[in-house]
Amino acid sequence: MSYMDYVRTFKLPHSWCPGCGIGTIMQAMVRAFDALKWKREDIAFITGIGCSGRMSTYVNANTMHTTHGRPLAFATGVKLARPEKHVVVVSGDGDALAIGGNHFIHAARRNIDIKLIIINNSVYGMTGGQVSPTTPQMFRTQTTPYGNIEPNFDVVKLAIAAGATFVARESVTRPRNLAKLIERSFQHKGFSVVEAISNCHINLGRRNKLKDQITMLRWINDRIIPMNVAKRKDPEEIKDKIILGVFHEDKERKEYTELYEELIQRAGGKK
Amino acid sequence: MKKVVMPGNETVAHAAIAAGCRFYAGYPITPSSELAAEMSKLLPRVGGKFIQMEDEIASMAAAIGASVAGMKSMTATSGPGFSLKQEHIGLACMMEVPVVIVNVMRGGPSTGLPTHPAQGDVMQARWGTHGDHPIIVLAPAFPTEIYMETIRAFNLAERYRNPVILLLDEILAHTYEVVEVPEEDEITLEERKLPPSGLDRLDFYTYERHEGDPPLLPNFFQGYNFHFESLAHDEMGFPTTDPEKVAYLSHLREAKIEKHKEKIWKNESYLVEDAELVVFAYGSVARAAKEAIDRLRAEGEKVGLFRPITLWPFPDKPLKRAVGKKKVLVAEMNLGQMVYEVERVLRRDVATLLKADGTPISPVEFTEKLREEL
Amino acid sequence: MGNVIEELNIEVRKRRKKPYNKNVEIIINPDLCKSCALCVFVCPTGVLEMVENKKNIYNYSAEAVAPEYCTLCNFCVYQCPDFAIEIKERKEEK
Repeated sequence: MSYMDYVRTFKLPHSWCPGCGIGTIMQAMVRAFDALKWKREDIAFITGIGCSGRMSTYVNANTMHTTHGRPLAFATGVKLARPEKHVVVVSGDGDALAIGGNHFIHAARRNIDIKLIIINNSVYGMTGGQVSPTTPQMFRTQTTPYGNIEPNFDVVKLAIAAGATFVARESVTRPRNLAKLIERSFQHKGFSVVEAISNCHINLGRRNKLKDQITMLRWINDRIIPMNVAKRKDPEEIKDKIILGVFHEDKERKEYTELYEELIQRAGGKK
Repeated sequence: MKKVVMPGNETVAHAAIAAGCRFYAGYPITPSSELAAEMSKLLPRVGGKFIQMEDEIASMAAAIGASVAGMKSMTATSGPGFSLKQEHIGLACMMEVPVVIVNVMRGGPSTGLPTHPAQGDVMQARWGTHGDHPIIVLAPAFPTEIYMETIRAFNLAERYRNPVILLLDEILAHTYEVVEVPEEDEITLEERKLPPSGLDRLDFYTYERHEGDPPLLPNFFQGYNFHFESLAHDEMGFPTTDPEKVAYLSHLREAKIEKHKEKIWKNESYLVEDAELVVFAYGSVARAAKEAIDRLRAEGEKVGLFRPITLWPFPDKPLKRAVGKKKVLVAEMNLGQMVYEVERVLRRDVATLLKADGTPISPVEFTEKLREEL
Repeated sequence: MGNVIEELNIEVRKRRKKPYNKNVEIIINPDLCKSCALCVFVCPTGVLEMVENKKNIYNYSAEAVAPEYCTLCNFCVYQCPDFAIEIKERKEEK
């Protein structure tokens, strides 16, 4: 087996723009599948709507392309029905944090064993470049022609506050680290969130002097800082930086489907 | 058979368990909440799964997810929640996934009259979700019928791989009545047909599928790594915009219901043979109609009832057969919805008894109106 | 994108410090490569460049012009969004 066995190669080339980070993130994810030797038949891979949503076509597993913002709700049904299976969700920043925000915080609150990867390119790419809950301040987008005033979510803080028991962030410019981080999140028992900072030069970049993938990846590289390096800096120096690493890991808290099995015993139900 | 006194909401829950439902996702909403409460009690006892999701949209999604994972699943709601679930009902139609949705109708629109009955969602049950799509909608009226129609809802969903909507209203949901609960061996259950394992193919939306058949789709984790797609998709489930493929699969989805209408229809014709006036009514309204008809018949008036139990697909032929040229009066707890179907099918105007003030149409109101029309 | 490519090519040539002389074969699948230049961008030792290529709809494509500098770090393979690169190490025929 190689990571390519988790790719529906007969569906390549995929439809993402040249230089888009989604393909890189997909590779990091399937490498994690391969590293853990997960059987394809045991994986449910569920996506929402948006550029990232198209990934369910290309991953060779039990896949589902659901509705905008709702993959976690579908995944909850799949996981509760078959708790012994691996359930993985990929969602964009708009998909997970805007329309899907309610399902994001509740899946985290439940600590249900679903592996979420949020591809955060800070824009609605599929629909032509509208503002998203993570679009930087004063950035121009199709719906913020006078500069974005929409305050941003801190995805990591939001996930931790809601109850996720593994929360981490990496960047598409460090795909090897991202693959390792995703692998680690897959091994965690409970709701895990990996935020992958990504680039959309076609929509977000083009309107903000970052018009190609090289320029935009350089811009991302200038903004990111690994956690261990950030620790040694004084806060003022890194206040605009995006810190990468594992922010939260709670191995004690019981996972939702485990609690449900106990509930069935209490109800005297036969398994 | 054993007799049990219970309200409609509980009847549906017990029937669902008997039908093999092992997953329920719901959200509290009057007047359907008791159904969720009952499922939360019953499912764990049979090793089933219950979850109260964060909203109705999520509930519908979770129910579909569980079905794709191989379980018979159900969700229940009322008007406002029914509106929220529409997008995912459409998804279940597009992916051809079996799921049962119970809608306990209350006064609408908007928050309306949460604790009062109505029948104002019958067109929404047919056309609520956007785009052309096949749907089956059942409307039981009597306690034991609610039990049996719940089982039929699951069987139809599994047989045709399609969402099935079961309509109750606040009266049926909350009224304690005697339900004749059949023994296990008295009911026949259907399971979705699955493709054999080990085939070297993925085109399950057309594999061995003749016009009018449901697709032979695998469940998740059956070994096929199949793709369930909410976009228009091809025979393998992958997105396509090829007009021919889009039209072909859309046609197959419609045909699987259209071709079996006769088997899906279920109606009650009561004293129509010699009737001069036939009442068209469904759900709880039909029960008041029947009482009025009995009273008028006792006075020698020739009145009958045509009661559809399957609302959609609409029973056009059975209605024509039952009514012929006779005078018709359509009675509904709304400002006129099914009446348009009746007039379309009969190609003539009909009398109506419409009431949408949150109170049921009483037998007395019926007798007065019927006397006027006779 | 034009000048960005020229600047990139100039920059990567400066990375070629010490040949590693691994016996490698760098395969770029022309059916999958979208000429996005990310492989060129991330290669630490300047093995790859964007070269003129009329057959390609972007009229240039990535090529391993200096394979002797390849250290088999696989950065290009990891970064490629299109699963288009494969690196094979040819065993020395003793």
